[in-house]
Amino acid sequence: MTLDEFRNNVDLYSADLSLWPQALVKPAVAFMKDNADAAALFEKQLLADAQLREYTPRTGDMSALEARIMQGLTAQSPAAAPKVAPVIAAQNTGWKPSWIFAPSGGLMVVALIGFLAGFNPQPKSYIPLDPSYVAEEQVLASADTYAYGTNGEIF
Amino acid sequence: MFLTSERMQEQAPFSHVTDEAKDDADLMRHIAGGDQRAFQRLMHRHLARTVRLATRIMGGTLAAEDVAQEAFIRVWKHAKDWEEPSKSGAKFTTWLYRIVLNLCIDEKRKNRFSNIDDIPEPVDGTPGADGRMEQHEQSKRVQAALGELPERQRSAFVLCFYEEYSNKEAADMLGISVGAIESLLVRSRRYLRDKLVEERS
Repeated sequence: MTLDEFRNNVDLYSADLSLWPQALVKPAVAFMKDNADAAALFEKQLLADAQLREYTPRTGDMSALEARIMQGLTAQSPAAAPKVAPVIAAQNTGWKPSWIFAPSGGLMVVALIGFLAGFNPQPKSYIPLDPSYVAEEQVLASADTYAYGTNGEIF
Repeated sequence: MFLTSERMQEQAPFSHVTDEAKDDADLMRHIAGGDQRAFQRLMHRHLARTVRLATRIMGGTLAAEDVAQEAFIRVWKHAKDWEEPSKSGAKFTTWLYRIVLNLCIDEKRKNRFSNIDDIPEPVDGTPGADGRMEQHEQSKRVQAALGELPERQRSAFVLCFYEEYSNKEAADMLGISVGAIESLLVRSRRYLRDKLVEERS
């Protein structure tokens, strides 16, 4: 074991040898006996770990927070939450069908229905043809050398 | 990288594989059906630990309680989205702590320049207060050193050192590889040792 390897193991597993992989403990202890730098490093890590362990945030009585959270639930029902299909959720695509029911989605749907209701692919002319125009057209047609069928076919 | 996967497997005894995880799964099934009592039981079991985790990440109790509150409300709202360990391989606590860590990161980004918990607490003048003050100062130093770590290093360190999760479990919570967790742990522990011991001496 080199000093770098020893340092890496200390950095990774701390100074608590019970957290080290079994196979590394004996070589590490032997290395510390022969290497003063390794022993000093281990000592420093022991001190650091002891200081870090002393830091235990006081959480106090949790009952007030529990009550606050329970109060917050009344407006929130798990059944009311939008259900994301598991497969889609697992893929983390961010796609959610609930957008259709959102205000903006709803407006888009209504706008689309309105557009489709007003859209006619075969518009009809609602302005009646002027009878004089019809008569003139018949005169012109009769002057043609072509003969027209009743359905407009040319003979 | 510093470690092989074989070494990681040797750390398995430190993981929290207990009957509690099964019980959590049962409670989550009830919660998904709208059972508030099941929710209360689950919350009672995990709330204090959740607040401690958030406090170590956030550096203050007030913000940590807000994070814990929001996390449990999300648990309630999205209980149906949670997948049982048998299907997903992830325990309830993995899911919960992932929510907590994400909320902590969001909160810290939002309040980068204003932290009410930074206001020093009043000095305690009662008898025997010296020892408590010294301990308080020590805690402040550790808290400050933890606070100086980059977010990911701090999260990795808190999960593995304080919460005693295995590297694999912590990696799952943070959504990164085991190798990345190892790297974060090495850097965070080196920094903290330098900060707490070497600088002081």
